[in-house]
Amino acid sequence: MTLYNYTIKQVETMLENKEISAEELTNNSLEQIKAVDEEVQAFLTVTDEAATEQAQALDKAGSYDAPLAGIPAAIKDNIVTSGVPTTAASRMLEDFTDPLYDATVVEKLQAAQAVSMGKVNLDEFAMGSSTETSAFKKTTNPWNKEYVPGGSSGGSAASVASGEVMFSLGTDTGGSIRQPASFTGLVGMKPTYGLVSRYGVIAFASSLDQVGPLTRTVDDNARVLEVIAGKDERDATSQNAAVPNYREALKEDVKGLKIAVPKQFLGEGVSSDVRESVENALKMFELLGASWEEVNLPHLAYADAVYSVISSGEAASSLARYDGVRYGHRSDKATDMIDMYKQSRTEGFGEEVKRRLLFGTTVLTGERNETYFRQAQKVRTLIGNDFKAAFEQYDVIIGPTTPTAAFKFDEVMDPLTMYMNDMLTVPANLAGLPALSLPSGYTELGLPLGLQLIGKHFSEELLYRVAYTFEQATNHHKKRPSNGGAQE
Amino acid sequence: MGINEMIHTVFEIYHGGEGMVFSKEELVHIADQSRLHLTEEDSSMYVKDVQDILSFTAKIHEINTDGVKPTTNGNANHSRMRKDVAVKWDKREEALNHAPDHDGEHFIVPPIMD
Repeated sequence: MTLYNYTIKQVETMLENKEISAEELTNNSLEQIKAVDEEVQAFLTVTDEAATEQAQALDKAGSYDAPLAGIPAAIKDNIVTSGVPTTAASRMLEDFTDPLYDATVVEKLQAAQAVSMGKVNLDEFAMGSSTETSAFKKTTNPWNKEYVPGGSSGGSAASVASGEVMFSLGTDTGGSIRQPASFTGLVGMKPTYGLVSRYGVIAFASSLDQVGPLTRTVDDNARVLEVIAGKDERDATSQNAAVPNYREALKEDVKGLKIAVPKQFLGEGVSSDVRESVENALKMFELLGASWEEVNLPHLAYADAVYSVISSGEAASSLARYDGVRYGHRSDKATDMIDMYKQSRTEGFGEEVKRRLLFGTTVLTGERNETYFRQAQKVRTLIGNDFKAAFEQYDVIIGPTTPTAAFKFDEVMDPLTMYMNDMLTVPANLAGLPALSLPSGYTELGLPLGLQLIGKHFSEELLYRVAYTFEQATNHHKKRPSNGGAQE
Repeated sequence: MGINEMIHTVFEIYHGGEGMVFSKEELVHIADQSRLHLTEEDSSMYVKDVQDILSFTAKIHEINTDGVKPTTNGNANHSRMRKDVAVKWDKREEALNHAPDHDGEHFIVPPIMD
């Protein structure tokens, strides 16, 4: 049995019918990790003993009624896990091996009896689009090892795509769930800001960060989101919205659905295979009874710039806590207190993190606080207004997830070009909207492409229904990377 | 100088091609504020990078934002408030053990003054 040939729903039935045990599922996951992770390099920590113990306890209790009972999972390493190393893929937290608490989303997974196989790689502090900025390893794309898996949730994506686990948790500040999902042929959901608690999630840019699931199917995704969503007293930004039964939303029906396609989403910088895949998807939606129109959201053209300013500014503030005093790396070269801060941060942070801290501090300092940071926050309001106006007339916005399919290692050297890879995903973060990426085709080289759906605040049910309808009408989600490892 | 004049000035500088607007001296100040040491090599790279990103993001100055309120929160709604109630927490010792240096009661840091 290879995990990626089954859905969570199928495994649930197999467990109930005693066709498989939780321990067998866990062993299956561990065997796949052993077989492919040397090449995929998704995991930073494998918690094999804890996973086996948990699975055995589940089997002993004999009940698999909990929503994710026995399902093998992976957790991005910027999500705090009690007693399990949590590094954010940074030297700064390399020795943070024994955290004292679980993030709320981890508590919720445990209550749902999912079995965590461990922690997976990311761009350092989630800053990147290829997982190349990790201080520890380069994760490869299971579809082709010469290509990046995307980022920053690259380990989360690669672990699911290669069949090591059945789902993973990622975080998305500017596309970090959707872009890797798109690069590895998965379904990735960035929920509405405030739907999922950020308690215990290592902050990058707090007004943008959200946790969400990466899975192979829409149904799997809905099941995981249902578990992790909901108000949390410990996160003041988590909203008091009732969590719907997302699985009930999975009906094949888009009749009468009104789709908007922002012209900025198919413009300059978007490759022809990506454009073609979106056009084919729109034709499919028409056949299924939906209609679409091109719309103009004029401020979207500024979203990448607004995102760079706001996310870096917030990061400069979020990462000020790493001072070598209470936890994290402390340099032994320091002569005084201020020098200890500087030495520790200089040794602990990598090149990209420093770049963003320097730019972020620049836009928070002096006149630029008004001319850049404040101005970006105002343009952010206008971007939100553009979406609001569009949703008065349309139900859902559709476009590509990324301008191109996955790129090769070291192919994108220039930081600005790397930032541009997020240009289609950052608008949803800026407006706090839910957005989902799902497989929509393949390039000539066999690399996956993703379609992005964006909805109103708290319209996850609609997004799942639209995604499910498209998924059931196409075969894109049925392809697998060969052997669960990389194919040449 | 008002905000719009300031923005206009910045916009003119970036689009007027007047050369370096982010100097190495500024970078030194920013690195100090960011609590980072930079080598000569780092400085050469980052001064160009920050300059490039400032130029790229300067397009936000094209937009007239008179009367527009800034968005500072990811929520459409405001954050929820809660009562300021003390909660007992019994992991003081374990938390201290995360510190690079402590005496069992306090974090220990290098001297602040000579």
